[in-house]
Amino acid sequence: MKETNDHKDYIEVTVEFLSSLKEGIGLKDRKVKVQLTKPYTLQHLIEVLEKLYPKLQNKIKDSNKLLPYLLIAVNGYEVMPGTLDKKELSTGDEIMISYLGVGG
Amino acid sequence: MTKYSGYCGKFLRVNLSKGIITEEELPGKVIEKYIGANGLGAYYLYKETEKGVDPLGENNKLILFTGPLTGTIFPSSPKIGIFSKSPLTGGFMDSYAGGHFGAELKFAGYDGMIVEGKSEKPVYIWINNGEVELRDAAEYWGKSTTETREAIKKEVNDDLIRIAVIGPAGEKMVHYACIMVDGTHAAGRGGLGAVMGSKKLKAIAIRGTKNSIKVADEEKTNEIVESIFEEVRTNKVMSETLPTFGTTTATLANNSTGILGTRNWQTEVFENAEDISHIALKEQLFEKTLSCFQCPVRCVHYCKIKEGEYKGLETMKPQYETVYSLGSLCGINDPKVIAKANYICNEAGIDTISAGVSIAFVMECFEKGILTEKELEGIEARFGNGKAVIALLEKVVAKEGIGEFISLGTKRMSEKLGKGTEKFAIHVKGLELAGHSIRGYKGMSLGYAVSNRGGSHQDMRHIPERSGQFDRRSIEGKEQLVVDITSTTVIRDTFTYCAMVEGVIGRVGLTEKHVNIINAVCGFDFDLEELKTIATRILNLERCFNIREGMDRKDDTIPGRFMTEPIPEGPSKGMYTPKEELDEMLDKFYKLRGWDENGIPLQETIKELGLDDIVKDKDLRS
Ligand code: SF4
Repeated sequence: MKETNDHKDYIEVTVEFLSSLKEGIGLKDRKVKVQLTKPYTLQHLIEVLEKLYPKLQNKIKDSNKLLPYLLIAVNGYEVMPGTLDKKELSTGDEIMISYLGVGG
Repeated sequence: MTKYSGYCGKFLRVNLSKGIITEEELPGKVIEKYIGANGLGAYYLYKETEKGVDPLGENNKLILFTGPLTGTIFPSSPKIGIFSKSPLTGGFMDSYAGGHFGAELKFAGYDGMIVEGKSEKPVYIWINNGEVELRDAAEYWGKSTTETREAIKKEVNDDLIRIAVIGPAGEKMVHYACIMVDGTHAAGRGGLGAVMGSKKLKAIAIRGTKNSIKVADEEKTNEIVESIFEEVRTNKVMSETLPTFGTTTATLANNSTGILGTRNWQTEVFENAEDISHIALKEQLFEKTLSCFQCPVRCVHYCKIKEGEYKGLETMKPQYETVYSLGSLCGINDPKVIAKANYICNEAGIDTISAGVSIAFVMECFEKGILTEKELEGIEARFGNGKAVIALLEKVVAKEGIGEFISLGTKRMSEKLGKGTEKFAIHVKGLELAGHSIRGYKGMSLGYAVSNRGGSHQDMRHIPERSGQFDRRSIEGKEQLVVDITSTTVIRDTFTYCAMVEGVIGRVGLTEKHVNIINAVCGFDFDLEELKTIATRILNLERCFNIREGMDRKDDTIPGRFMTEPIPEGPSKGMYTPKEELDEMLDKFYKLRGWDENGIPLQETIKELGLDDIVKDKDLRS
């Protein structure tokens, strides 16, 4: 059964950096575990990631706005652009961040 | 000579039966209606071939056209479009190749060429600026694409010529034989290499140094070009991902969202995807990047296998589509096997997508006991068996025994086998499916179904659904999305800019950006509505070609597996497109397009688009 977010100080999620996102931000592994305090939203996770990996900002934002060709999926579901603050996360969630590739 | 810039204003007509080569003017009226590559290919193929023409017979034509952007300062627009009636689908086929061949043809003075008839003996076409001749190619017949290219360079004593060539697969008319261009690119889809082989045309070689291609409004063109260069420089996909990994990053991204074709699409999660990821390929294969004419992206990778059984083998790319078709789809988790298979395809001149999908079909037949080891001449064609993939490919190239059977492609193989195999024969209209899930994107279900060439990912594009901008799990509004995206891709293939930069120019629907580009380069005075009409005209003309060949709604379908078997596992588990859903989307789409319920363009649609000069009522109603 999936854990709920109630009565916890933090949740732990896995973030996978695909495409060329991992390059040059000081990560050894493509997948990292991240602890997230409230609010447990995707928006907050992105802010935490930017603090953890300062060079990431340059890779995912332009003029402080997320790049339009960024693909973010939670447990395999693409998250609609502009809804990151509404997407709630739970312990064990797998978040994939990638650039939208051409793939063909 | 045309008044419009971006053109040479003439093309070549090469009659191989008579050995006659002539130059023809590209009429201004045709340019205004069809603009370039895709448009001109559709126009001349429709006009100059008869209903029911044998794709591999003397009366089929092989048509090559560049677009007005090719050879200009406009970036990333190197494509040559090649058109014919396909031996694989029996319908309209267009396939585009990058490299430098298209630009070289224009520098030699020609916008394109129409090859007709059939030579008695192997020949190649040698275009040396304005001088064109047929040369004997008997000594190159049977040689690989690289051997032939190198030998022709030696013969004409010029290392810098550009060459389109077929390999042994094209000579033997394997139904999915391709045309290799410049050694780095392929006009891969639909068996155009087999058409070339049927005409005994081994190669087309070009030296073009005398002609330069002017643009109409230099200032405006420069402004647009600079903005595109700036976008390429700052866009992470184009400045980082594509030069580092090509398109292979799609493997893991697709796998982690549960839409990576695996073991003939029995599932869409590949447990060994990590082994064939972009990172694995980069480490084990990639050596250096190359680029097409006037392209700052440099997405082409020259590869060398660094260790193991195939150590030292050199080949181009493979890109994502090949990693899918010869990798996950066949259950292969070794980049070196994929590279070796890619090498065989490139040297023999076979489309890697159709080859991989055909072999995956054979593997599923083998595992289900429909094809036995004896019938497969001792090859244990289990998913994951790399040696089997290589052995089967070699048989296809030789077109002997079981290889002859596999060379027919999945549609014909399943028709011959019966036993319910049509359900998992993964093709649309006979063209094997590219690596973008039908079940995982509702828009792609419709887009593939109505694509004029069949299972191509270059008509409908998956990316707008991929981004989450359009919900890939819903059929809502997908008929309009397919109309908008295919209007854009047909214009992309008409102008001839590369699919890799379509994100910069615009993917969903034509915009003023498209209008500004073509007006600045050519000196047209189009407005947006006119450009939309041109896109619709070209798509309808391709459609009419298929209708004339007997296609209609029954052919606008997807493989049975995708209509009846939900994705069994992973994040996209449960997704599929039942027939009722597809029918609902088709009905709405036909209405938007101005077609009847059987998918046939209405007379008023034909008239409105100005196609009634070549499309006759009897072509559509017989
Ligand atoms: S992006 Fe790649 S395929 Fe396209 S023109 Fe540039 S180098 Fe060629």
